[in-house]
Amino acid sequence: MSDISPPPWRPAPAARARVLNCPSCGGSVTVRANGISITAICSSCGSTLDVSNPDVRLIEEVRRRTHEPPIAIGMRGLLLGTLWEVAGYQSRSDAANGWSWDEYLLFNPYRGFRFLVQDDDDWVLYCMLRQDVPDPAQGFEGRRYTQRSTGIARTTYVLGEFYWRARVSDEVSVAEYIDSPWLLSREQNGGEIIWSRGIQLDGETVGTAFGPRSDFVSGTAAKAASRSEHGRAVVWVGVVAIALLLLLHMIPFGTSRSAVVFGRTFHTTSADEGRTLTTEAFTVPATGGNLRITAQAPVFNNWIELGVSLVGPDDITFNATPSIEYYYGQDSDGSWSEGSQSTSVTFRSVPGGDYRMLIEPYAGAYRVNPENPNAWKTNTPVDFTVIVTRHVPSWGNFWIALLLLIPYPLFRYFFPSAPPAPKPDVSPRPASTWKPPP
Amino acid sequence: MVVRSDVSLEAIGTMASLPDDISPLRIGTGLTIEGRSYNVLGRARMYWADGAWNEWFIDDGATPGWLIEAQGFFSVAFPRPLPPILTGAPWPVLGATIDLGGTLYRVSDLKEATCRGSEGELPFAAPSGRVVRYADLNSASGGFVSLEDADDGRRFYSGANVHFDDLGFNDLRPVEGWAEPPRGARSNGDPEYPPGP
Repeated sequence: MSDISPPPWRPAPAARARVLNCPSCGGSVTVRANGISITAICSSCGSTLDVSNPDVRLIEEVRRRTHEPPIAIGMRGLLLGTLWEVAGYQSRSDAANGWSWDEYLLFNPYRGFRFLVQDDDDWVLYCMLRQDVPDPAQGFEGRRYTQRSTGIARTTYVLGEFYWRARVSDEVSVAEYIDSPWLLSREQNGGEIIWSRGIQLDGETVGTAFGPRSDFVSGTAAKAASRSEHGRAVVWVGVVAIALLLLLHMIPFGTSRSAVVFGRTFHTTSADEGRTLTTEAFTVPATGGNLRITAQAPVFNNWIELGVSLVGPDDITFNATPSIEYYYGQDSDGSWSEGSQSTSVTFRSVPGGDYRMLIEPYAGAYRVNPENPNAWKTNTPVDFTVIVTRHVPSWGNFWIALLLLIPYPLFRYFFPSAPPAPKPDVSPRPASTWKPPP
Repeated sequence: MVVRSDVSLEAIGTMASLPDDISPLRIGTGLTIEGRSYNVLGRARMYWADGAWNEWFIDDGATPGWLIEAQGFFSVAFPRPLPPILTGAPWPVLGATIDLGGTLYRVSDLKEATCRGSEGELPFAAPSGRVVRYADLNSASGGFVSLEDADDGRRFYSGANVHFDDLGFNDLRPVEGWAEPPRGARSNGDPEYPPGP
């Protein structure tokens, strides 16, 4: 025993995801919830790994093809004001009731986990409860719930990482209670009971958060390829080459690792039109390079324009006016769409430091007639989201390579042999009923 | 490492360094619980059969306690005298309810864990290898109590399951690729929080 002053604590290094090599196939496995996840499924070979300890252990070695879920593992989206990253995915089914559904495990290092559950067009965001729920039918938190379903949920497919020992053929008994749009779910496994609180979301909200990129390559190109009876190999080689190109493009070289540094959703009304909305300060790492501002808004047959000033150290200012418009309709040729619910601007060289954004919104949805600036104002809420990303890969070379890669497989797809195949009926997906491709 | 006891500080040698994790907390992080300002002084990393969690030792200079970080969620717990109803009682069973001062608590979790690493300042000696048996209980309003059994006896902690947004954190550890959420704002409509009126 003596007087020993505590050693000086060095500042802890930044927390980060863990990247390890699969003990079965050597493939790279990312553990996002590093230190929390205990099970990870290798996306290359499908083996199940125990990642709860520094030494990775192979639980089940399999060589099977994995399939990427409609919303890919690692994809990020802003949902109800929080940025989430897809960490895990499981398909579950209830044989007795003939149901099957998908569950995405979402992770944010500050806010923990959520479950995004999709059953056809029905989306629910769940959060595990850490409080006792005596009887939902007797009222809970001021709401009276009625039982919607009971059954046995059996896991039929898993991919990604989980904070429990997720396994195919796991079974738990489940009961669901509803007082729309809120739900309570009770899962029982042995003596352990887990309650979760959920809120129903519409497909448009989920589509705005995770949609724009989920149908890139995995959806459209793969689906188009599957339609072709002939020239299939050429088309697949093309798809694989494009996927490889995409993959190569996404591997971070040096310091140019893409990172989201800020995200926020604004809820506005016509009273906010032309007003300057200011974000809280956020830090852009001083690693040099580009900065992208992505703006998303669930506009439908409407538009929104944001006057954005990015103000940094010494009042250095970057200005842009991203405009989001999306139109959809049907005519004699079928359905059509124009524009997108997401747009972005990239500034090539942005120094590090503390920044904030000043945003002046203008939107058609603030008025009864979107095209007439003098039309009556409405009370319609208009939501939009801004996401700031550091070190976005430059897409110039990518598009050139893509242009070189695409023509022949495309040619073989449309003209597999002498008689041209009929034009495939690929209609644009309406925004209001967004649903990932099956 | 340094171990704090009521008498003096004891040095007990170097411990194996903790494996890296994604936690946004670190020694020196500040937080607020019911208007009082606490500092994170140390951490014990607890392992059980199906995973691990962090127990952060916190102090405001008067009432030291613990901030428990498990599966991405936070609870706070402060040592309290063992309630008479739990003194000498058999170990609780899962699902049982116990009335503590007029509030009903349900046993939600039973597990045994081993401390396999620590850093900073802790209120007990030689934590590495320390085996603790836990019974965690929750109330309907989010109250949290924990009963612990270790070699050095049975302990009782009382606190609450809390939310990141309500802890007023400062001096958090940066997390690569992620921005700290805006301070003090509960995200609207998120199912972490009860439905609004």
